[in-house]
Amino acid sequence: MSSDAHLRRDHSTPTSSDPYIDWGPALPGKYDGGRARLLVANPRALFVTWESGLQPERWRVELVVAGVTLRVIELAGDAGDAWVPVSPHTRGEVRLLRDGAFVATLPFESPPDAPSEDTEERWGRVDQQGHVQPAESVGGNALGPELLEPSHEAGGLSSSSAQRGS
Amino acid sequence: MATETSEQRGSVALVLHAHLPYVRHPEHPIFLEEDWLYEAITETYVPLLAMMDSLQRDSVPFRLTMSLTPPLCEMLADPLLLGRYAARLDALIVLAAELAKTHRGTWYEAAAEDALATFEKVKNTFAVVHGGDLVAGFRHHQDEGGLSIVTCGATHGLLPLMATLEGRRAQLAVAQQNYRKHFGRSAEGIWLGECAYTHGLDVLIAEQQIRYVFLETHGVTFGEPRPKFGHYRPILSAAGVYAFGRDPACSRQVWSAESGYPGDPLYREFYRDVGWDAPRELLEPFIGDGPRKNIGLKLARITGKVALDAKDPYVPAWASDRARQHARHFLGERVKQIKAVRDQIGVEPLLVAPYDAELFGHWWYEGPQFIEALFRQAHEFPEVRLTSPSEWLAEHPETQLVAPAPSSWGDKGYWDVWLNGDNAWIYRHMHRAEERMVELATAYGAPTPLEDRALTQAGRELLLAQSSDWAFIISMKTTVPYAVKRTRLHLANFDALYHALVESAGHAESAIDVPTLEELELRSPIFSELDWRAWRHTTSGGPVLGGVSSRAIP
Repeated sequence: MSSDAHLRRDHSTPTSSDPYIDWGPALPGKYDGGRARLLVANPRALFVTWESGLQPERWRVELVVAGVTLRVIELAGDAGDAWVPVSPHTRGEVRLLRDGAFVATLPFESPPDAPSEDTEERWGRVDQQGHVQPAESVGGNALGPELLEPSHEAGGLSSSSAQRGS
Repeated sequence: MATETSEQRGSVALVLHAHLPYVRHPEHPIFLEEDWLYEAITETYVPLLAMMDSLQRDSVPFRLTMSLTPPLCEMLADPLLLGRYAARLDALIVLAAELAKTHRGTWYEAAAEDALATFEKVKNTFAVVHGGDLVAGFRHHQDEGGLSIVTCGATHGLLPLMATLEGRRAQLAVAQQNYRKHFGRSAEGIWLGECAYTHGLDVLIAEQQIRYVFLETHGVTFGEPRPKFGHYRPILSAAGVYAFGRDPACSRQVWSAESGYPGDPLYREFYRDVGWDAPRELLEPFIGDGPRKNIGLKLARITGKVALDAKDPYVPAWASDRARQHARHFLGERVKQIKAVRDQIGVEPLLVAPYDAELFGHWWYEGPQFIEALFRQAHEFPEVRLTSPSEWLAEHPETQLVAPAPSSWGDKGYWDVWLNGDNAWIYRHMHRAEERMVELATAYGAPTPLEDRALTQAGRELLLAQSSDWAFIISMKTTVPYAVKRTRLHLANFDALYHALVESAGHAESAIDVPTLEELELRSPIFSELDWRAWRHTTSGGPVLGGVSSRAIP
């Protein structure tokens, strides 16, 4: 199972066969003007979505890092989306091609999933005007990177918990 | 080197994030999702205020930080919702009195009497002590110095997944404006919706004169360069924003389903609710002719891992004793933690303990008693100093310069909860609306009064669609149809206003339908002070946005 497998479910607008469920008004199937978008989901997954007025079309999504094409996804249709696996803490771009012709470059930076190797110390304080001024270190001992591992075990937290049990 | 003294103590900042999405349905006399607010007022907000009142009365010093989000403040100041709440509280008192009579002489007598006394105390605190104005009550404690109130994105939007700089900026600017309306000063700190952070947000936060944020642990520990003291000290971004990281050990003792305090067998059971047990005729004020539901009156204790119908009666005195024991245990654990951390880093550590406010009282009924006991017992633990972010920064302004890392406090630590196969469909529409709002705000120079109202309402509809709550509910599969409907409805309302405003621009005849606009204003009157110019495109260079990139294609 790839690391972003939990993201890959049906992502169409919900519908129901139950006529008594009110899902609200329908949203436009298509907007004027084509658009391609990239959203970072986590350090290992990007969500790319696009729509265009031209059809029929063949789409090609390329993940490019440091000038090297690492992954290619091909799809058909006038709109589409794709989950693109990526490595943590990576800068690169997703290139979108339609019928073999380049249409957009979407730059990205995936978040780190580990402490930085950079241990350079700089200190500062904020003055009355809100500007950062240099300051001296407060001394003390640095924690090793092994003590900085994430402790994100409290999964499922949300800032709006009061509605969770309703 | 400005070496600090080696006094053997550490600081703890207790932070409660109080938030509910904006739910207001004047078109229905009873609306299920409005219960979120009514239950939270009775079980969390009023008990927390009563706790602060009590501490102040007894001259017990306390330091508590709370975020009160703009939608919550707006609902707490809404006459329609407050009127409905007061009626509901009266109905709860009548029901509790009836149950106290019914259960006299039974094992449930103490629980029923406690429920009645609690609701009467809530009514007194709400209506008499604070005159129905809870926001003023919180403001009072901030002015007195015990409470620090921070703001949040205007509608708790997930900023890293917004398409535009202007859209992110508007969430912050509207929030700051709303804070000034409710609290008479500018917010110094902000709780970012879902603690969601990405590169560039610090610049937008600093623009609003906000000094500090709270981040998930790895928002600090994965910062660049590596923070010397991990999350045990705040970090300072290049834009001049301090970031405080969540301490996982503090969270674990309260949040953990296995080892957390709220699961103690003596505490009140959340899921065994009178709404499912009482005779139907007694429940009419709460459910009308609709289905049964939780009403917020409970008479059983957790007991253990037994079926709901095998729960024992709740004994309030036992639970209160246990809450005090847990507070003592929490402080004792902090003493040990502070000593261990201090031995490692050699300077005073700060433990930031953030929780959902609604955990205290709503989910964990005895939670406010736990917090009160914490403050009352704190003087017995001189190694632990309770503080607030502002107080900490006043005493420790020198801070390591570190760029915070993208992160959230949601499951898996990033944005998977709000962007996955179930809810990814919303972003195409959300981003269009956001870009169109920027287009409108930039294009309209001198609108007519009617256009001004339409622009304002368009801003409201966009902000309401952007609440992270809807995507969260869709992920959690709780009240999914409602969340989908709210997302679609606000986007559709925005769309209608957008087209009317585009059509009206430069024409003498307006395309804005006045009855429709009035209806929208009536249904969602949030942010009376809203200035749609917050979305205006600015030509000055802003920060590079993390999280999203977007391009026009043919």
